[in-house]
Amino acid sequence: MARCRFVQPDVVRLQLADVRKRAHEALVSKGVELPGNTFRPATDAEIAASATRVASAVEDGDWIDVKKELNAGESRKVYARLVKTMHFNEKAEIDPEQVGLSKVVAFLVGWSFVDAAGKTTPVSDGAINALDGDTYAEVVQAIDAHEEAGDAAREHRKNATGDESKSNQTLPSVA
Amino acid sequence: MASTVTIGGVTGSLRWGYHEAAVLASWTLTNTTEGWTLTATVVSVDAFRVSQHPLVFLAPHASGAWRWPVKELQIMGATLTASLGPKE
Repeated sequence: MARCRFVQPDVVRLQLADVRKRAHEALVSKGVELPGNTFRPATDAEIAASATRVASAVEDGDWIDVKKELNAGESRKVYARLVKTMHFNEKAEIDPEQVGLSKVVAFLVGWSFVDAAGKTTPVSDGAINALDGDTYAEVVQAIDAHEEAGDAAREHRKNATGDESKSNQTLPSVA
Repeated sequence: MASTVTIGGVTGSLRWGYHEAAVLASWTLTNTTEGWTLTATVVSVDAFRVSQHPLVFLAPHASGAWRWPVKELQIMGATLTASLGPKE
């Protein structure tokens, strides 16, 4: 049977506490990142503060619902939204306001965030822009990690099924 | 004695997952012993998405939306008719 080449609209729930858990694990195992991709060991106080942030995030229990995978049109939209100007034979000019945001808008379909009245707020550009900086950064990191995991899984699947080699084969012409 | 319940609304939509498959207006839902039947005016439709499964009919209300799964649907011009499963 031919395989379905259309992206199904599946949703994945990501726990925001996982972002802080990953940051905590990196802090413990690698230390604090310094300029030039170097690291110094984390102090006990830094590790304790990070552990407190993890505990607080677990207590909050906040989550986001994201698309499992973007389809071709959505991926193009991420790029189109990011680019300010593009001319033939020139480097594209990126819109700094859209860096990170274009991907968040494309992936995000729901969240547990409530407004000041305690009411769940639907996802929208306006609501995303109204988030506090830390929450926005966590959302970006959660989506980046989700995208990387998806890319890795697809790459693995491609290699396992040998799809790539098949797609590169040129069939002889029947003419 | 069989009873029929009819409800209606101004706006509604068909969804395929998180995608909007169709925007509907002036919809009417009739519940008979055979289940729910939806009749609506089609404002816009995505031919691909509306042909996919599972589709859900969304009727917005003050604090969210009611959802019914679509079992079968037919679009004739600007009129949509669908049979729906039990409200989710």
